[in-house]
This record gives sequence, structure tokens and C-alpha cells, in this order.
Amino acid sequence: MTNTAVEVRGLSKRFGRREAVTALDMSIPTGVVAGFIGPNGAGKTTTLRMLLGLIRPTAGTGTVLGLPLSDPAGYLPKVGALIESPAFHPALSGRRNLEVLACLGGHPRARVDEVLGRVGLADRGDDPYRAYSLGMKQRLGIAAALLGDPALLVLDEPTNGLDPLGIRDMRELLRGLAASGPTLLVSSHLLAELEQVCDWIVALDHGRRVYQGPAADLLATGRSAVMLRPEREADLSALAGLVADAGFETRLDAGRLQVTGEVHDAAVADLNRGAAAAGIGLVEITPIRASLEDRYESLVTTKES
Amino acid sequence: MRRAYQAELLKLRRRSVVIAALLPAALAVLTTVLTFALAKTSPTFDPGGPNFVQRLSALADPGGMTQGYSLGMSLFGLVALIVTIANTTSEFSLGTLRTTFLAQPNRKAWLGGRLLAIGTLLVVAFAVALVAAVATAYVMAPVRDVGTSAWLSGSGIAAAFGDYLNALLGAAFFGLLGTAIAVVVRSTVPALAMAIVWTFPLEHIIQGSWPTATQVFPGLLFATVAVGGVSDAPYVSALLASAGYAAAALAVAMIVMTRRDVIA
Repeated sequence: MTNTAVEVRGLSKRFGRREAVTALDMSIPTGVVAGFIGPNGAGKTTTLRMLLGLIRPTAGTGTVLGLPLSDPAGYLPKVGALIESPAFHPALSGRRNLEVLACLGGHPRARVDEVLGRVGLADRGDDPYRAYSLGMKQRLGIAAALLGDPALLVLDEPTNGLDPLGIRDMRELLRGLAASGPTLLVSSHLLAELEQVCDWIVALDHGRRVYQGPAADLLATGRSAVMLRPEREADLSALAGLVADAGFETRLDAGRLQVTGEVHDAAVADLNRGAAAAGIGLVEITPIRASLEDRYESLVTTKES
Repeated sequence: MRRAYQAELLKLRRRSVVIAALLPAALAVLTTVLTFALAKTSPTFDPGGPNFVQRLSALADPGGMTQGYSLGMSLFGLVALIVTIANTTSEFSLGTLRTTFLAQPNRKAWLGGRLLAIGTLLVVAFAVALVAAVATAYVMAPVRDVGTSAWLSGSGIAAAFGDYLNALLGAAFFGLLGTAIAVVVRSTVPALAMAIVWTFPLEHIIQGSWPTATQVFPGLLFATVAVGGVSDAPYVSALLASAGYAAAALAVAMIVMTRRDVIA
């Protein structure tokens, strides 16, 4: 068993004169929930299609579950995937669609009922696919991806077109899937959604990788603000002076002091000690974490500048 | 390929497909009735090849039982062409091809299994049509006072089996051509337009001024095989040329399907 579920080096894809993915190096450890982020057109779906053997890379090498990218027939039986929108035969029932895929993939027919139950479609399995709502179609897509009891599950924009309740249900489903063992690679441009489920991030912009690593590290870097509240409101101005002397910008906010800038944990500890030494008791130190969206924007802006 | 074949059969196992599979039988009944109803009593009448209007006495020959069937099934080539194109291009337009290739990455095996499943459907549908046509012929024979004693002779059975096999081959060739066109073009409307315009009006217009076209163009050759040969194109040479076209169509479909990126 390899420690890396996906590993690619110099992966590129060119469509005519347009380069969709450029020399991508990417590594996804086994067992993580990896968010594959970037705006529309960043190259996410093209990369996923290359990983799944649907399109051939122009250049680059890699492995999926330890097997070379050039041998999708070797690793795809252990990979489940939902790429873009779910695609099934409209005239067939959800169950029959899954039976066809189970037959194609050599999976036992009994798995169909199991996965239908797992995605909450057990009662609607015999309805024709064309009668399904968007949320049900997405669920059926995930059920199809689960048929082979995959070691790697690749989901491309699983919340596409869902309403807020559908998005919440999908998030719960993803959490349940993540807890059950497989490595999850989830692509989305809805970063707020991914932030809640991912522990590993690969960020793309214009076909190039701009970040790869633990989600916590990305979110911790460049914390955007810390809120401080002194025990006595009268100490606010003294506290503001002390913070300004440490090189940070401040802003008064309803009896509290908002400290902005690159406020890392060590700096927060220094501010706390400095305040105590000056006789100012702090009753609140609240980090205001940057969102994944903020961090992605910052990564892209830094790269462009 | 076995799994792809079974999966395709599973997809075909539904009411609308069963109804569609009965269409050849309906057509065979209709053309058999027409063949008997329109037959000319004049002993000197020459139908000039495969034609709905036959000499009545010829219907008592060993091959008379399946004359209407053979003509009816030869019309089915167009249907086979249209159905395979629409069916295959829909896999691209619905995006089901990517779902399929995730489950079965061996694209040649998938295409092979799929073609075998469609072939199985044709074998069954044309056999049902043959039974329906034979039954209809037995109903119509006394109406036009046609003798049936030769029909179940050895040569009668052989003629019926030959008509069945030729009809099947003709439809299979059209189906392979349709699959290749669909895989290359991918979009339903342009693929259908290209296939229908070329194999039907254009080939027949050219044939009108250049009879050798019957021995050269795929649509005319496949139709010739379906009716067991015509005066402009002997059966064996038409069969060999058709088999060549069909093999080329299969090779093109396999190569394109294997090498092309799935972006739908």
C-alpha cells in the first residue's frame, strides 16, 4: 500500500493552442480529504480527466494508487469518480443504470442496493433517472462512484447546481464518506464548502499549481486579524499604542481592538505578554481566521505580482 | 468484452426496445402481404430483379415463402443506420461515455461488447420477423391460389435461411457503418445528415447514370447483400466488398474510440 494516492510530475495538457494544464506537480497522501481548488477554467477538470484516463496528457508522468498513469485499466477498478455533472441513461431507472455500471465494472449486483441505501436513494431506485431532481442525480452519481468500494474517490464539483439544503446534505455525505476510509479528491470552485471538509489542499490557477499542502497550514498562514479586549475599556488606547509599537495596524471596534496584518501565533503571544507587563489584563484574544477564499485570492495575487 | 456485452444487453432489456424489436416483424408482415397482393398473374411478367411486384407463379417456387421478407428487411438497412448513429452519438451527448469508461476503461472491449449486443438484438428481431413473414405467407398463399408444397422442401428452407442471413448481414453492415460515422462525428444531426444523404439519395443518383456504382458504394453494396445480389452486382463480389467496408468501418471506430480524448 503506497502512502501517496496520487502523484504527478510535469503533467500538461494542450488543446490546440490552449494549454489547459501546465507542468503540474501534485501529490495527495493516502487517507486525506483533498480539496482541488481554483476558479472555473483553472484546469481542475482537465487534470481529473487525465488522472481517470479519459484524456491523454500531452506531457508528464504520475501514479494513481501506485500504478502508472499510463495504465488506467490497472487502477480504475479501485477508483470511484463523478466527473462534472452525473451522466446516466434517462430512460433507465437509477437502479438499472447502476446495474449496468456494476456489470461493466465486474462488481457484484448486491452492491447496487448497498450504495443506493448509502446515498439515500433506496426508495427511489426504481424511478426513471429522468424523473430525478438535481440533488438525486448528484447522489446517484456518487452511488455509481462507490460501486467498486474505491480506495480513491474523485468528485468533481459535487455541489454543482444544488440548492442550500442540497449543498448541506452533500457536505454531510462527504463527511460520512471521508470517515469511512477512502482518499477523497474533491474539486470545487465553492471554496467555503471545501474549507469545511478538506484537510489537504491543491490550488490551481490558469493551469498551474499555486499551493499544495495541509489545509490547516494554508489557513494559518497570514492570519488576517486578531481581536483583543482589555479588562478595562479605559486601557484601550494604551493597548492600541502597545500594538502599534509592535508594528501592527489597529482599529477600535465596540470596546475591542482589532489587530490586522500578518499576526502569527508568536506575535499574539508577545502582545499578550506585553499587555500583561504594562498592567493591562486581556479578557479576550480572538483570532479572526482568513477563509480559504481569502487565502486562495492572496495566493493568486502574490503569484501575479 | 463479456461484461460489456452483458451490460449492453441489460440496457436493451426494456419495453421500448422490445417494441422497437418488433418493428421488423411488422414490416415483414406488411411486405409479405404486399408481395402476394401485387403479384402479376401474367406468366411472361418479368419483375426485373428484387421487386415488390413479382410474377405470381414465382411465389410458388422454393424461395417464394420469404420473397416479401427479403424485400422488407432490405428496407431495414436505413433503420439500422439511423438507429446505430442516434444510439452511439447519444452516448457522447448524454455524457454517459465518460461514466462508462470509468467503469470499463478498455474501450475496444466496450465497443466490441456493445456491437455484439446490438447484433444479438438484430438476430432475434430478424428471426421473429422471419417467423411472422412465413406465417403471413401461409395465410396469403390460398388467397392468391399459390402452391406451398415447395416452400418446406430442402431448397425452400435453404432459401429462407439464406434470405434471413442476407437480411441480417445487410443490416449489420449498415450498423457498423453507422457506428463508425457516429464515433468519428459524435454529434447526432451532422452524423445522420452525412450518412443518410450519402448512402441514399447521392448513391442512388450516381447509380442512375453509372450502374457500376452498385459494385462500389457501401450503401448500394449492403442493400445488394440484403437482397441476395442484383443484376448489376453479383452476390459474392458484393458480399466481399461489403465485408471490406464493414471491416474498415470497425477498424476506424475502434481506433478513433481508443485514441480520442473523452471531453463530453
